[in-house]
Amino acid sequence: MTEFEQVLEKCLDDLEQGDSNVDECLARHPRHAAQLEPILLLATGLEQARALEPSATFKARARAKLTLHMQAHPRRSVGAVFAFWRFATSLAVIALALLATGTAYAQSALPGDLFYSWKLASERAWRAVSPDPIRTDLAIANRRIDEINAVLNDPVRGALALEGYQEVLIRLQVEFDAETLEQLLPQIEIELEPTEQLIPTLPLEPNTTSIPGLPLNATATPQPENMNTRLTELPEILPTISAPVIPTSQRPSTEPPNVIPTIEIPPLLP
Amino acid sequence: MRDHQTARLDLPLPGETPLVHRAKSGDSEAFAQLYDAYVARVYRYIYFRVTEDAAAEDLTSQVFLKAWEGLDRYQMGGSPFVAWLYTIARNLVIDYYRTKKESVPLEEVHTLTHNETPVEEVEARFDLQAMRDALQFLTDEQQQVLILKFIAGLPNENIAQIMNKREGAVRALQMRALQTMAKYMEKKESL
Repeated sequence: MTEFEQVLEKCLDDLEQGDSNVDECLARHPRHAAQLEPILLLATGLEQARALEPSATFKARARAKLTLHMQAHPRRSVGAVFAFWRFATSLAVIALALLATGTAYAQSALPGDLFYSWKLASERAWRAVSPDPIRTDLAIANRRIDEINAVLNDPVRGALALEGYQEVLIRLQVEFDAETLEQLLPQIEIELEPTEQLIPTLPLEPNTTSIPGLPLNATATPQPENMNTRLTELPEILPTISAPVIPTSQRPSTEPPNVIPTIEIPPLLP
Repeated sequence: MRDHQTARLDLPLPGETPLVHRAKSGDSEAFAQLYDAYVARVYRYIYFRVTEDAAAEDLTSQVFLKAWEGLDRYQMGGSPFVAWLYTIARNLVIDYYRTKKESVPLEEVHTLTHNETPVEEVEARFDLQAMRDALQFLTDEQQQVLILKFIAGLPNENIAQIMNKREGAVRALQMRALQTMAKYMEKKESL
């Protein structure tokens, strides 16, 4: 900044602060007075332009136009909009949380329980979005087997679980050909491993109640070598399955309570 | 001396904050009060940025329509409301010159007459018109700093916010603009 600019800046500050007027500034800086005078006069002249007022006609016309515009374009309170969205978001979060909690809780429901329908609905949704429906069906079948094991002493609930199991088997038969299932055989073995562990412990006796048409020694373990034959048998078997009820009196007294003495679980691929 | 200083500064309207708050909530009456308070200041700013009175009036009107529509964008607690209005006005003026392909020759501006106004008013208008003409010869930024500083009366802090510059740069611009304009007016008077 040059010396003149420094002087000019000081004078402008003094004028702005009201500490001195133009004449006083010029008197303080006689060496630059000639150069300073037109600039300082211009600065004060510009300030006089503050007296400029728009005409009353214009102000009234523009105000009327603004009023019409505001009526035509009413503003919605940002606070109200924000509050609405906050409420809607909270509601959605609560609904999602309830849905998630309920779904998680329903997974342990057994046939006849309040949340059992919820569990079945969640399984349908699971299957609908699953990229691998066969694997999902096998997992669901295993769930039904677990339920059958869990409600052994309740024939009504056991029948419900068995019905669910049959539905899964029918789906597998209807929707997938034998070749596909054969290709997926290793997965089937993996999926049914828990059932395999349970079923062989069953003391299967020819004279106990069994599901008509099913071999009494059927297990959940798929048999690769003759799988196609078994697949074709399944539709004939399933419709004949009746309520898997066995009188308690026929149950061996030494039998542990957590096995399935009366329900012969049809193997997935008999 | 202090009273003089107060008169020089373009202070915000007393009770402006609650009015702006109400306007932001959709209260058109509150916004109308803000219009009443600031329309003259906005008009003055635009008057010295354009050469036609009709354009000044039209742009002034547009500033408030745009402000009503964009009130959500005004951050309370930052720069004064009037500074935000000046920012809208500045953008409108830029758009005005961008869309107005042909510029009005200075000679035409000089021939503007106000036949039905009193003599004193004609003289006053002549001075204003001379300043208006001289301002047109400055760069956009130079016009901005002079109008905002000396006609709008904003402190450099607010001018720096509006122009998105540092205060030091604003000061330097002001001094350069004043020197350029003074030289132009001297030459004009000598003709």
